Amino acid sequence: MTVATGLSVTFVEAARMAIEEEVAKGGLPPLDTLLLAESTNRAEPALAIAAQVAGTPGMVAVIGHSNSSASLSASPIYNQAGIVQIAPTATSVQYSEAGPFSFRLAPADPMQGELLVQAIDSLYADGTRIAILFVNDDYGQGLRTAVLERLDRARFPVVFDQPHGDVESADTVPHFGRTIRTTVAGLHSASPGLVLWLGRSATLRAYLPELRRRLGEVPVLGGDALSSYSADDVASGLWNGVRYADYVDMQATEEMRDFSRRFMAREGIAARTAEVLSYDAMGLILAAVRDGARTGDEVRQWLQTLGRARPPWQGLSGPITFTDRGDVDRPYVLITVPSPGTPP
Amino acid sequence: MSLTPAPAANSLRRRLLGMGIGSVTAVLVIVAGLALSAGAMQGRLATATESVVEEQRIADHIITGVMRQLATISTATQGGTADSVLRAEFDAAGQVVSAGIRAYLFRELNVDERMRLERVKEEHSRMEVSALAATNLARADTVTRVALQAEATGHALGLLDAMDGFLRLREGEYADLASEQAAAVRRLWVVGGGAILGVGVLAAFVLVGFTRRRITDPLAVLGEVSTQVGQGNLAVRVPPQQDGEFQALAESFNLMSERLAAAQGALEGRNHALERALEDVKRAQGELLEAEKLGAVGRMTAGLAHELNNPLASVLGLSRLLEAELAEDRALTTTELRERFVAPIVAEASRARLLVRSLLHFARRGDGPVGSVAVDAALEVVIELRRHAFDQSGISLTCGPIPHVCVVAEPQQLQAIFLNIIGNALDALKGRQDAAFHVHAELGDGTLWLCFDDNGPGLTAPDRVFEPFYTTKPVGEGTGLGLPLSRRFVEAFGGTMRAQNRPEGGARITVGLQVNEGRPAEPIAESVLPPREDLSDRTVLVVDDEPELRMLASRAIGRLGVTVLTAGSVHEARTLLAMQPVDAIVSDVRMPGESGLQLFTWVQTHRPALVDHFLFVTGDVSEDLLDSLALDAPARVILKPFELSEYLLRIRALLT
Repeated sequence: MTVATGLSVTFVEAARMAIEEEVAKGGLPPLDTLLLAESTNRAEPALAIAAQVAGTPGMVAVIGHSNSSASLSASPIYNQAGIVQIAPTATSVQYSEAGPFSFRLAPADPMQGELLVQAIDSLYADGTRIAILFVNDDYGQGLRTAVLERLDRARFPVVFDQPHGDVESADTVPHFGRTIRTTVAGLHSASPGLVLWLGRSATLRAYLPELRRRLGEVPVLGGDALSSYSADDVASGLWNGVRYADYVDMQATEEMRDFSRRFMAREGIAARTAEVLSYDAMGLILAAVRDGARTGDEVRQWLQTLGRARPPWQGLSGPITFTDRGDVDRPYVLITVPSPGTPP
Repeated sequence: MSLTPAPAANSLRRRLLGMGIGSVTAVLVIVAGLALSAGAMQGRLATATESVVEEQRIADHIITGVMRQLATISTATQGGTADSVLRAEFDAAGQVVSAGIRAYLFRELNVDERMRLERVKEEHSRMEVSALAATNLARADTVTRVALQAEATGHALGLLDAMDGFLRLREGEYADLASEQAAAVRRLWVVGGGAILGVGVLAAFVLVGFTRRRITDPLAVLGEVSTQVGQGNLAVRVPPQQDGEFQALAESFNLMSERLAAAQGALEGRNHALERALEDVKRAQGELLEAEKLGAVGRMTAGLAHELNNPLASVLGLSRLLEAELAEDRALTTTELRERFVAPIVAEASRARLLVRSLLHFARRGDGPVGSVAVDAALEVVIELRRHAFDQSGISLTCGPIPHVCVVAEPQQLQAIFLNIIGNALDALKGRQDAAFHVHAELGDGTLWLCFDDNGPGLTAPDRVFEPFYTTKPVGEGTGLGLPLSRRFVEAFGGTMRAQNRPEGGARITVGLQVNEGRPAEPIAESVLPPREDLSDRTVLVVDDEPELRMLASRAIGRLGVTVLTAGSVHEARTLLAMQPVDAIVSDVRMPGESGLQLFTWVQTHRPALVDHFLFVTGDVSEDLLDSLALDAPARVILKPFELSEYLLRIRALLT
């Protein structure tokens, strides 16, 4: 019996931390682990990991992958192999159709879109001109669609709507810096009152200097991908005032704070909500194994019975249950990146 | 042998039906399996074909969407169309492309294909980014716009290249699938054909073995048993068979054999009984025949005694008269002596001899060979035997001229036939006025027809007179076998015999006999004694227990001038033979003590030179050994009473 990961390095470490803590409690049956890490958000590395995981005898579950595109691309392989897939942060609507073995701990895009639209309604005055910058993949497109379906454009006109590539593809895309400048110039010419960033934090990190240079302190509202901002981002001051939708509030509970301390002590970096969800994902699988599940299908059935035949599983992120399509039943929360000097 | 019920046998028909159903079922199962497999393959092939078509359709949508997006960009850069409209068109086309890619995403793809698809997806994403950047952001900056458009075109070409690679992979996979299915179909045909062939061969082997064990072997057993039964071995049985049909056949065959054996046993029993009955009948017939003959002889005896008395009385009277004449010393001339005394005495004695010889001849057993018989002589013997009886009864007995021919017959049986016919006529005519019996003959077409006519009351039932035991005589006077036996004898001679009533009254018995072309036997002629001879150097030994006959023989043989020695017994004869040589032996047969035959046997051993000079003199006609001796050398035996002349001629022949 084997469990695996296919996540970013910090996500994998959170999962490993969960394994170690559960093993330390005792009572777990013999279990092999195949903890694989990936350094990009692209689907191709995820497919390679999926092929390796699916080819491993005794594999019952995998935590992966780091985003919607990768999780969605790999999901057919896991479903075909009867391996439970728990994607910690996949939000794409299409992932709900991935198959009976695919679960996720991040609420789907419609819920995030709902939160973002509510935030716009509540935080910004009518007539605020909105500029949308979205990463042109499953995540960005899905989230953009969710927002546009809910946004009252009469009150909040969309004056800029432009896709972009991920920053990790900058090496392969010529003139990426020129693209940023051109994009921000176009953004500036649209005179937006709010920048709705539906992309990843690393890309935003590349855009923010030009953005701040040309548009000053224009508010930035983003999706859950911004939850992986870093302390350096905070210290740079460029992220000041940036709001984003997050899965949970890391400061909401003592357990969460304790996890952050332990993670910091272990990894030397601050834990984000994605690590929390990765930690909870591995905790779920180990709980199923502790309850006697020995195959992928038994783990799948165990997960489906949460909140039904058995009580919701209590994770760091709160009580966890799943819909018939494997979607977690949890609301998003709106988080503001702290100002420099503010204690985490 | 009783049949043991065989254990419940299975039906051959059911077994054959079961085998047939099993074979057909096996073939049907194989064919069904082949059909299902082929159907499944066809289904997979159809699914694959549908997938190819569907994927081609998806690819068309993707490519079309990309082309539409590129066209939209081109339109946007040329101006004239509202941005919002163009963007909506661009997004709609982009959604078509994304939908197509998602449609691929949830199909069964391998990792390489998914990699290619991700490449398509990524190129599309980058194409959109560059395209929208060119239209929205760099409309005024021609250099940047052209560069972004070039990027978008490059990504579009990259997308198409990735799409082409993806489709090639899919085509390769489908080609592999088609090849696998073609190979599978070939394997299916080979395996299916082999399976059907195997089932066929197996069924053939099973059928051949089954046919041999269950059909031909039982048939061979039945054939073997039938052959044995046909050869008469009715004890053999067909062993119990496994199949119902053959078991029923075996039981029926065994039952038939058992019944056949029982019937044969009964038949053999009946045959034995019939054989015994036949022997009884034959014995009874013989006894009846003898009884009939003895009866006839008995009936003749009274008349015969009277018949013999007459000549004997004449001989005795003449002898007494001659004795008296001689005692009175009357001088008799030789002529007187011969005419008045010797001639009548010889005539009367000859008459008596004829009677005795006829009786002896008749009494002999008539089972000799059929040959040539002088019919007139045979008839004469019988007539002479019965003449006195007819005379006594006042019945006329006449005989017409009888041709002196020989017929095919056995002499004794022929005389018995005549005696029966004449005896019946005598019985029928007794007490009637003017009764007459007449015999006459006709010769024609190689057949001698003898007609025995009387003027009696006729036959009551002419057609029945030849039926055994049919008689109209009083009880105890007739056996009813005389005429049936007579006709049987006649028919055995090749002749015919019939009975009818004469139109003028009375009965007629007709006997038809085949004329034998052989020379008729010469009648014995009356002869005179041979003249005296002088054979003094010869010696003849006469052996007879009767002194008178020894004296007669001595005096008669003495006429030949030989020395005659006499012996009263065989013992005495051997003593004389031991003392002196003789040239011939004349011996009686029946004598007290040893017989003449024993003397002959002694001579054969001790005086073999005398075997051809030995003459038996006998009145016994029933000695078989004597018959065989007479058959070898007829001149060796002479019957008493004999003609003295013949007697001397025989002896003279022995000496010369």
